[in-house]
Amino acid sequence: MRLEQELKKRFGFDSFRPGQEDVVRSVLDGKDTLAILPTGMGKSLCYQLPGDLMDGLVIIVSPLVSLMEDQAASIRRRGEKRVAAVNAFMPSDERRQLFAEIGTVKFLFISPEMMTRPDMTRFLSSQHVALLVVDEAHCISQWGFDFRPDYLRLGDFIRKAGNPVILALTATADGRVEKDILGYLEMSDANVFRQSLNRPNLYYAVQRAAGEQEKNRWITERLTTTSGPGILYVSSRKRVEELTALLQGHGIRIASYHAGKEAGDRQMIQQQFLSGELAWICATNAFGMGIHKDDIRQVIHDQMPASAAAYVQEAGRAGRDGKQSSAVLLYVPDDEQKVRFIVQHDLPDEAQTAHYLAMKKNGEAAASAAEFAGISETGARLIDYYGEHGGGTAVTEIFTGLRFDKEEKLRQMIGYAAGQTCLRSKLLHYFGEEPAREQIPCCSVCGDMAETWLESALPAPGERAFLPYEERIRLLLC
Amino acid sequence: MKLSSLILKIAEKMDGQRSLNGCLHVLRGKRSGQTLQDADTFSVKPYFSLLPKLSEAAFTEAAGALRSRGLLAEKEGLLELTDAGREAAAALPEYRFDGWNYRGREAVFFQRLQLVVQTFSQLRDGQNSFLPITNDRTVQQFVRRLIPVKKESWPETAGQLAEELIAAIRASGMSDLQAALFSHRLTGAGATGWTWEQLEEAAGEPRNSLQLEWLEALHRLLAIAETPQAENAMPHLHKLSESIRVETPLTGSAAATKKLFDKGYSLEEISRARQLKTSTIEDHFTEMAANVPGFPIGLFVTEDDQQAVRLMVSDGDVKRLRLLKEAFPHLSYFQLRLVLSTMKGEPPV
Repeated sequence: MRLEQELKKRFGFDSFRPGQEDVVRSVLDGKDTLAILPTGMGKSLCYQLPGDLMDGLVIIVSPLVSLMEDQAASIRRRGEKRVAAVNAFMPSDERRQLFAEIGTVKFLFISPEMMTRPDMTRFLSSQHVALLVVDEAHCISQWGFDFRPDYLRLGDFIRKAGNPVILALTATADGRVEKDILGYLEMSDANVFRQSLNRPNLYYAVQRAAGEQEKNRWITERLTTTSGPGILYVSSRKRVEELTALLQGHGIRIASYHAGKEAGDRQMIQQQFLSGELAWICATNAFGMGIHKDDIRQVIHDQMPASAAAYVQEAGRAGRDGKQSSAVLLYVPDDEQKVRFIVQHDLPDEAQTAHYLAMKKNGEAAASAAEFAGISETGARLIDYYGEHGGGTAVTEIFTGLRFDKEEKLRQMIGYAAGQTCLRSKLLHYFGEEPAREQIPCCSVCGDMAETWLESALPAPGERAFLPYEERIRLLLC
Repeated sequence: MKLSSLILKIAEKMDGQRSLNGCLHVLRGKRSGQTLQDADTFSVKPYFSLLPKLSEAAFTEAAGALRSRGLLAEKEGLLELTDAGREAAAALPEYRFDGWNYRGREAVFFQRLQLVVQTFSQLRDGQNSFLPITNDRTVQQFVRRLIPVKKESWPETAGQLAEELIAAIRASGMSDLQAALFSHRLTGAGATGWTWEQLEEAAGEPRNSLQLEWLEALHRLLAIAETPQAENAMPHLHKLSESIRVETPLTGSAAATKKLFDKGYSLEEISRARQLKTSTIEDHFTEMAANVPGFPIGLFVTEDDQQAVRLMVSDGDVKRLRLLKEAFPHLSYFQLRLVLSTMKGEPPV
């Protein structure tokens, strides 16, 4: 088949991005396929194109409601209207209507919780499923950074649906996660495609500082001299607000973003960033998923994230357009303790687990039991799953294992920040890749570069002033 | 607009009859029989449920400011205005809140408006797909129905909407600041809406104060958009204000109680069937007595007792339950509240 022709006809692209074609061919050959592609490399085309060419329903399991809506919308945008998304928030009459009209749907997005409900499994497995796409497939592995036990129940569906072709997609999977994905999704004879995580147009740098004050000074200097668009990642909401205020004081067009802000404000900030009204976003890791902005020139981390996988994901939001961009990590040795504290407290300890289980036994709802025991939503999901599969002691053992694993991942991150060897090669090594070929510019260890590709910052904008209301309304509508 | 001004307005009405907490409950829109009845008795319905998420700390701070300025005092747990306080209250502008009838649903009105404006704005720039300002599906579906099918009529409709908005702002009598806040909260192509922080920066006033201004501006606009005349004069805005006003005066839970009561269940039976405390069901009954015409209050309080209580209330202007209870020791608080709640609409003496 002339795939390029189909690509041109249906998507308007002249050629595939690296890695896409192999995946598409493998799926069209009817092979189970695992594709590990860096974010921004056009994952969704890997199921849209074969889906178009295959007969039957394409089901896409996706863990985030917002992401799901976003992907469904982007398919509609190219003119494909046979798209639907089902999640737990959908009113049941709408859901019923959707099922009545399932024949008119080609791409069905669904959350794992919904998918594994018995009635849903029964209904969907009675349909002709051409392709089952498991997006963010690393969620199936307890070693992945966002484990979702519901993914483990997909195996049941796969058997009932008569083993449709499976396409598992993820941006990050080390060897262990890869093994889990293939095992749990019963993909014994699968093609595995791993696209290099190397991003040649990113310059990696670690900037060491003695303390927070020095960090602040460096960030201020950097943002007053070089331009965005850029993201400044910060570990706590409090620090987000502090830094934003500091930088605004220097006339930088920056706004803060975190999950604690009003939804409308969050949307507006995102929109202002996309349209260029804002040059910078200062955010927690709540910002980024589903943001399509190709010309981000800098991603700066005020503090290291908990794992190299998270760092690669966040820093990788820079330079999607292929132009030279920078990824800087600020590092103070004290950071280790702070990150360790956050990471380890994410997992419930023995007492919390016992407390939670006891309360649930007494008929308390899961959400409030978790709140009383002081454990996170993810923590509760983990206990629920392992509790069903082996009881209390098993849970404790697994958590001990997870704790060691998290520490191990943090060590990698510290190794990145504190080490003396090539940053690029180190990141690649963590994901089982060969060291990168020499390139210039590479990273701050290989050769500290003046980042000349960054443009100088625009002059500080004047004071913010309202437009007369008539003018603004006409600007919007006329 | 300061929170303390609202407190002063409410305190002026409840002067000497209620505690500071009574005032907080009104602002938060607490759904207890007592508060619902207070809203009515003291004519503070406009302020009811204006700030459902108002924190105790913010409220205490604002009330404290009034106290330290010598405007407000507390005597035996009851709040009282000083003379200076009465003067200050009289000097405040007249607010046009209508909390009782909107109960926070003005936010839905604004979401609809925001999305409709954004949609026309993006369509004008040829962007048929964009990130909607709200993810609320009901709002999205509502707005979708308002967008004409024919592409050719989009610019005209958008222009009409702009003129309607400008006319409504003028007619509403809102201040320049309010009009600025309102128009900069709208969002669209090339003119993204401003966050509250950005509004603070431009206005030089704290967010809480701006949000109150904005809330009152919305209530003013709704009052205009809702009128039957608006159906012809500003058809789009009128449509956006559809079913914003709260039509059923009962809270959801009280409505469920009413259903059982209509079927002939007694108060105790309802309490058992719904697994709710008797006091909660009593609250529902008080709510029903205040809102359901023809509620058989005689089942709970004899005609003679009702008369006696009413007389005492209108003679002495005593609305404080504890004082009434002293005068009628044989009646329960529940019975007294039932009687009080049926006195709605009678002019204060």
